Amino acid sequence: MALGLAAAVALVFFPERWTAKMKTTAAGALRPGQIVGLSARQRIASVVARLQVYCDAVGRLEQSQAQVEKLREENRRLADALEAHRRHPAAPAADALADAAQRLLRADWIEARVLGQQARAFLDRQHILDVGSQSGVSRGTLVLDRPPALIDLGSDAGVQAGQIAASHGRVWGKVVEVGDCTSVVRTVAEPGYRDVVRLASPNPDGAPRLGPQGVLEGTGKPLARVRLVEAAEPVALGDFVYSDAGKGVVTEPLLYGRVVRLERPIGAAYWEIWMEPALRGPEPDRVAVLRAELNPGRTGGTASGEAVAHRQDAVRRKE
Amino acid sequence: MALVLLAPILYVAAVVQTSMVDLVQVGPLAPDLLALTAILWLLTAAPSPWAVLVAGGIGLLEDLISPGRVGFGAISFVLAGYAVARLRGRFRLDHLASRILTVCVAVTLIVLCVAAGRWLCGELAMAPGKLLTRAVGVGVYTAGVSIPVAMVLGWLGQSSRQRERRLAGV
Repeated sequence: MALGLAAAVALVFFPERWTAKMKTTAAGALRPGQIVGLSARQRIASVVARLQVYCDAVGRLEQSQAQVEKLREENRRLADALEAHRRHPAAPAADALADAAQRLLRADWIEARVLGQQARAFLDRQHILDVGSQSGVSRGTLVLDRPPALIDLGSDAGVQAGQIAASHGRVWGKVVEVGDCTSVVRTVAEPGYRDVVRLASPNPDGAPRLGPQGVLEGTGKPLARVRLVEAAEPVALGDFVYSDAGKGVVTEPLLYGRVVRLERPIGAAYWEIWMEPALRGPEPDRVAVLRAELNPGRTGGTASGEAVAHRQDAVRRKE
Repeated sequence: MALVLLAPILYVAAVVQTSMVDLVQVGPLAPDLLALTAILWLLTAAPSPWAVLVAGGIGLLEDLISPGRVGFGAISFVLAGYAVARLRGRFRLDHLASRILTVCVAVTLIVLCVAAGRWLCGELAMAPGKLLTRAVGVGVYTAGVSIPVAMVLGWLGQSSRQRERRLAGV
């Protein structure tokens, strides 16, 4: 121990140039190990970085798979619901039946076919104008005919002007002229179309929240205008526009479309609202004309009342 | 621990201490791996007067890979080695806790001794209180690092003793 201690103390007094050589030798001996260590460290760092990237990718993939699975499940659910709806149209519940029995007016939908070009051409060949020489019409007088939307029901089926033509709960237009067997329908976007409407904001939890009333006007362009909605009322893009005409007659409001453009000029009293019709594109093959009629259950039709009660009992037994 | 094993372990410890100390550094504190190797060598090697000289050699290696005057490391390692050898002669230092405590105290003394020598020579301009704090920090950190190593050495020593007993029984 004494020998070691003496040698160590002697080292302290060694000239620096001697110890520098010893230090250089020691550093040179450690150099290969340091190089190996540094390269190993770099490789480990790159492997760790790759693993990090891999882990991130795996995480993202898992998230995407979960999302895909969720969407698939949603699609399956929707497809099942659609199929069930197709096979078994919703049976009227007891409350709905009771409500139907208590209403004074009820909706009577008359199904009609929309007439195409060929049908119109045929009808034109059969057509006789209801004016003659007494009205100043002479041979060669030009007859202007704007091709209207035509349906194959007329006064023979009880169709009257002002009745709404709709398809799958969406308003297509209004009957404006009624013939014996055909009627002219003015579609929502056509100029001159007017109706009282009610705006409603979408509600993800249930039925839309009803909002202010307005007046829908056709413009002759793809978008119709909704006027006379006060600027103080809450309106937003995407709000539904429902017809107010069927109130008290139909159980579900008839949809006109959705708000797609919205402006509130400074100082203006009313909103500038543009609506995209829900029924756009090619005209539908079949439409239903809404006709209000008195509820026989309310107007002394006991047989009908008994039938409704019988149906209510049947529904209760089924439930 | 055989001298044959000690050489590569010392080499690896020196390489880590000179080029990868940032991996294990916590603030200004880093474990003194050469001192740890020397103390564990003294605690596990067969008792011999050469063990102190080996510790002094390890101290010299630490001097050579560190900046500053050579010799303070060798002196402090020799002194710590002598103290550990004397302690080992008086007490059984086979238990894990006693070994870790020994490492902690011995490394603290080594670091403090080296720092004091360099401070006296004017190589270190640091307040004595701070030197002491840093020495204790290095001692505690090195003792923490020594726990797994001491456990492995303890298991190895236990199994070799059992084998010796079995052979003696046969």
